Amino acid sequence: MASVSAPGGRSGGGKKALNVDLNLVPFIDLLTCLICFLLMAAVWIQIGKISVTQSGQGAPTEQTPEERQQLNLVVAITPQGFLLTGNGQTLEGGDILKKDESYDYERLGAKLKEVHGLFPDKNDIVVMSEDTIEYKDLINTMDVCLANEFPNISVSGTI
Amino acid sequence: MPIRKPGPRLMRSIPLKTAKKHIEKNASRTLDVSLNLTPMIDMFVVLTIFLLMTFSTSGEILFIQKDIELPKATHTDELEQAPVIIIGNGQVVIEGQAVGRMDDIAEDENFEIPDLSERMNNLKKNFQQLHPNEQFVGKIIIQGDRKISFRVLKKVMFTCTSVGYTNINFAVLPTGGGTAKPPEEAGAGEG
Repeated sequence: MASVSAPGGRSGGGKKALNVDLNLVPFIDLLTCLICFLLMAAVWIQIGKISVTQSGQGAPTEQTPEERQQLNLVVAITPQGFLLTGNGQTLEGGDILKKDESYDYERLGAKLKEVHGLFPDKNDIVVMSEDTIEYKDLINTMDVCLANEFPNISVSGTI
Repeated sequence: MPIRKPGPRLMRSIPLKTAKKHIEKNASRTLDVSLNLTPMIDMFVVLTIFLLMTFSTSGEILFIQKDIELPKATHTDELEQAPVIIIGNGQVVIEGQAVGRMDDIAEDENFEIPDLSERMNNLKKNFQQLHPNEQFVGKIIIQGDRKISFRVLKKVMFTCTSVGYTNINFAVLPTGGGTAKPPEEAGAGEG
């Protein structure tokens, strides 16, 4: 058991022992209960989320002149690579083909960064995908969009 | 020779009387031993601090099945409580109930999955009955295997949106390196 010792009295009257035993049992009980509770309530696998909306739903709405002037940015994922378009036109250097049978996320990121530099207020993007594309490639593409400050992502299946 | 009942013995070869004599002979020596509890308390404190730091108030929202491998992403948000649709292992499941096989859904020409739509409508009605004063935000979590095709995913998403669950969240495994929100803090140039 833990003990606390203090020096005796200076006047020579220190015959009585000043050693005190601390009762650590309640403290150990408390720690044991707390550890058991925390171990039971612990979440060992952290899971995150990527929020999206589905574009192309409902009846087409009338666009305002301001909306028409804005850039409608779309990243299309095809089995060959990425196709980055703005207002229906392929952007310069927006045809990003696969490199060594895998998608070139670095080039896509660089291109998106360049577009964001030209349109700093723009934060929405549409990710289009073909039916054969795997879910992980879609998530990786959305991750690149989020990394380059396009947090409002819409997903569309129409190409 | 009279028959006697055998007395208690410690071991077959040591009668109890011998042991008693031995203890009495060494009775002056104390048998109390103080345990040093300091390392144990130190370990308990360190363990408690670690567990308190990793404690999550939201609890476990998703149970990852062993057959489903989630995709990884760096820019993620914290997951919130919502109905879960699991796509993987050959079937589509909502809240623990299977609503269709992935092959059938992929081959079907219709975009809407009828069973899924029915279940989601029920969930929506239940929410509105249980929370009459709250606005329905239409939040849903999609827990998909990383190798599923977009053909199935888009049909699930279409069904969600047509029922009113427009706030779709993809469950991913965060790999660290950034957060999705706020947008101005998103790491530019990463990925």
